[in-house]
Amino acid sequence: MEGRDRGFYGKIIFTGKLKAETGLKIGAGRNVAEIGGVDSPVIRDPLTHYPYIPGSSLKGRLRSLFEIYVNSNREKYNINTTENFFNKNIGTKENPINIHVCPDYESALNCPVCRLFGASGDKSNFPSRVIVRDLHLTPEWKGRPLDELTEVKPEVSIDRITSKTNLRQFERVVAGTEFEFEIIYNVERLDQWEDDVRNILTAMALLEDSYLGGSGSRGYGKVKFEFESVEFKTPEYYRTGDEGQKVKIDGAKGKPVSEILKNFEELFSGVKSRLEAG
Amino acid sequence: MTGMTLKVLSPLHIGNGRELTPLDIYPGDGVVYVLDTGKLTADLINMGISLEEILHLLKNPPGDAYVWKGYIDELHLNPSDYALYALRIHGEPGRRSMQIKEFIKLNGRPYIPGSSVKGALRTAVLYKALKECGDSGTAMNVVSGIKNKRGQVERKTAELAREIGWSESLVDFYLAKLPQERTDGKHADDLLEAIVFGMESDRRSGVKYEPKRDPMRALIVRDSGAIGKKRLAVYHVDVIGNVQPIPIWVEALEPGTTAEIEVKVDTELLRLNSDYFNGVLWECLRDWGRPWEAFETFLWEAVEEFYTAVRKAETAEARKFGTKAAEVKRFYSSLEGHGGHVLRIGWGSGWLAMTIGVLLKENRRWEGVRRQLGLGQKPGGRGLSRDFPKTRRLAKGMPMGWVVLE
Repeated sequence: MEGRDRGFYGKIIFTGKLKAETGLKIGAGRNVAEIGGVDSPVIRDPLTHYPYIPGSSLKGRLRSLFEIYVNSNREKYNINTTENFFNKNIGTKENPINIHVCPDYESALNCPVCRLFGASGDKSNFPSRVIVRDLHLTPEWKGRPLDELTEVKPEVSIDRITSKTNLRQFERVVAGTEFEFEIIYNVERLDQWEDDVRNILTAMALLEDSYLGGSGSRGYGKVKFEFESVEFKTPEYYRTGDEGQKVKIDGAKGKPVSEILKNFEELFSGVKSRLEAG
Repeated sequence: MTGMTLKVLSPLHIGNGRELTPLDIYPGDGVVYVLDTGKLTADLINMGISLEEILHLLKNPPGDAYVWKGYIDELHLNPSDYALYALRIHGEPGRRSMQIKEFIKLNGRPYIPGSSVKGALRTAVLYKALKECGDSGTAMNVVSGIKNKRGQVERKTAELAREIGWSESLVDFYLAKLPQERTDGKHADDLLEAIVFGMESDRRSGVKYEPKRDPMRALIVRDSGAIGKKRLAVYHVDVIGNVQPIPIWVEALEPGTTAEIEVKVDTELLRLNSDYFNGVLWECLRDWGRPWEAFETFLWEAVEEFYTAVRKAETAEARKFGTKAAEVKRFYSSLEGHGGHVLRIGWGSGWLAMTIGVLLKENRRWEGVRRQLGLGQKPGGRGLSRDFPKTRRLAKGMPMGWVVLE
């Protein structure tokens, strides 16, 4: 535990809707498939059977996209350009899945990826500053019959010599479905929160131009965020419960990620002055 | 590239695996109504017709299978009041019955799946990679570098590389090897795709396909946005070269229909995995400079070259379209010099467009392999046709599924 100096200066909480613009497949794994069922069912809440998006899926995807972004802009982030950025293999030797993980607390503290999303380093860990809750259907979508929430999409793979076909059936959440998201950022350092929050938003913007879930390269998983609220809860709020100790960011409601990024200075000016005032 | 417009040039059918039956439709004058049978049943009951009678008729249709037609005509109901949607019909509807292959839809509206477009792009890339870099030397080098978990080259892998090296080309090697394999025809291309797109070591076959090593994963093709139902029509499909005992009807998008579709290449993913991709395709892209920068140009050149080859092959054999030959030739002439990226997708595209058939047919081994694979079976299983592919599908005199991406 070399010189950890963690602080708590409040939490910035983002809420809103994540809309599946094309069919979304976050699989539950084959082991839960029923006999005669589809090849790859979507993950569902075990109690309600509504499809949902695990927070881990969204957080993992945000991290992965942001890692790639940082790797391509290493000089900007003061990251050593000679070492391999993707330094940890979480797959197998034969099928490596390389991610970036800082080896210790100190390096994670200065890494835009690890201090945001956390690091399980070889020497010491860095706790994630970001919490991504599971995403459940919006009330409007919960009001719909279960069988209207997903579709079974037939796909054929065609042999490119014989043209014989293999039929596969994938279950996916239908395009248009909306989920509620909540992303919480812990303000632990006064000199890093602005960069961190911008980085969260950057990762969200990157995701909108990539995909969430499986089969994204062939159409699935285009998503879009729409903010409902962004608010800053001060440490005093957590001591007193006083609503006056919250800073609500007016102007975030109904906005897409790009608008929040574009107007960052203006939107977060209230948070900034509150944090600077101490 | 990102947002593109896909324009339909000839009737396009992409199925959802279901069929509309006479129990779903009412054949009108030049139009087929797809009925809201729940609403219709409720109204018939209100008019005094018993549910038992309706159910009995549904189970035992009296000769004419259009059960609802009897009620609608006799009671002078307006079919459009009970229609979920109406489809223009190209060709005569079945007099007593017809089954229509349904177009894929979301919330009742048709769309073009990204997988259909991506599959067509992938075929073109396979073709170009084989044509440009499918020499035995390149393929042998690529395969001989594949190591197992312990960092060693498996005996089978080394054998495979040697066999490729002795051949005239990768296609030639493959056509020599295929008859020795026990393949059901659904997986005849497995090893070839592995060698071209990306592979890992395999004790049994030398190498096997590994999707993570396939640069095509960087190509993202989204599902299109929803298309208006009014763009759908019913086409009677003529199967030339094999008379069908049961007529084929499909729901298809009419020529002129457009859809917005995103196509993008994740260049960063290509760059970061540059050392990880290991197939002939990646080797081919290396010849072009930085593979991640060359990928997109290669892709669109592949589309141009492959689908031009398909068009030429079809035009050269236009006589096989019989009385429709002139129409088909005219259609293909209209595609010449067409702007954008012309390609063929969906049902009825035919063997030439869905496979690397234009390359295979050039090889002296192909005819023997084709016979071994049992391709071109005559109707009723009476041996194999001398002519392959023998059948062609036409909708309103047009070869199906031609589209342009702009």
